[in-house]
Amino acid sequence: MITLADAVRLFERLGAISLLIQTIEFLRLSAETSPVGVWAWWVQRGDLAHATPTTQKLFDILLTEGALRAHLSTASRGGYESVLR
Amino acid sequence: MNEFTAVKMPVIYLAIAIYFLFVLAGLLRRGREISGPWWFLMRSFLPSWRFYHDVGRQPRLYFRLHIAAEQWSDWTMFVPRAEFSPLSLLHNPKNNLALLQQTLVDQLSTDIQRLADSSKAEQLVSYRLVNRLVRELLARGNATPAAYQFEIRLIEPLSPDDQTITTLISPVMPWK
Repeated sequence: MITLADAVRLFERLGAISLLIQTIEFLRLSAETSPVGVWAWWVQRGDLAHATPTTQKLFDILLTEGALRAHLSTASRGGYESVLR
Repeated sequence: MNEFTAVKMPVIYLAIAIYFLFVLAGLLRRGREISGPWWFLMRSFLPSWRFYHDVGRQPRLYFRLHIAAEQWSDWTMFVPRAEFSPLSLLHNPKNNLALLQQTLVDQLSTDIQRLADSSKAEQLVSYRLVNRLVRELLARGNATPAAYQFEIRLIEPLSPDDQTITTLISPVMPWK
């Protein structure tokens, strides 16, 4: 019979696999979110016109090409390690 | 149960509780449209599922090229087609992107319907994204036209072309 600890481990591993798949897909599509891609952040940020200047600056930092790629790489590495652990 | 698992358990319980709270909220808000500027940033996570409850006219993107003086190509409809393979069950970036592109067209169509009389479609973020999508589609086909133009049409499924409604015609856009 599966124990609670096993169920938690299974839940964690499934979450990690899902995270890994999605981040790898985003990384493979990173050209789409580059400044010359269709989904360039400098175009999408127009949706934040209603937000405060601080929030806009925060998103500008988080969603620059380099920061987004670093975030995705960290997430994929975390997912990979969690699957193997 | 080791100490590491004991520490993680509350976090896992919290994650499960949050998940079911979202499911419950979704059930309570069933049938009501969730919209707001912040949701637009979640485009890639929330593709359009409208086809589940609305089989009416579907928004479609059309574009054409300015080939030479007074000469335009025929309108081409953008219809993303999924390519299936067993690997797609696990890794499916191209098809997810295609779904996202059609979601963008749906979004523009919705934005146009809600557009105030004093506003211009060119100011919409979805309009600018669709414009970039059209340019990418043209570049993918190695087209280098003098100019191009795109339209959003609402088409009735399984009906002749003359039953379409054009909701947006872009101005003639220079390629360079």
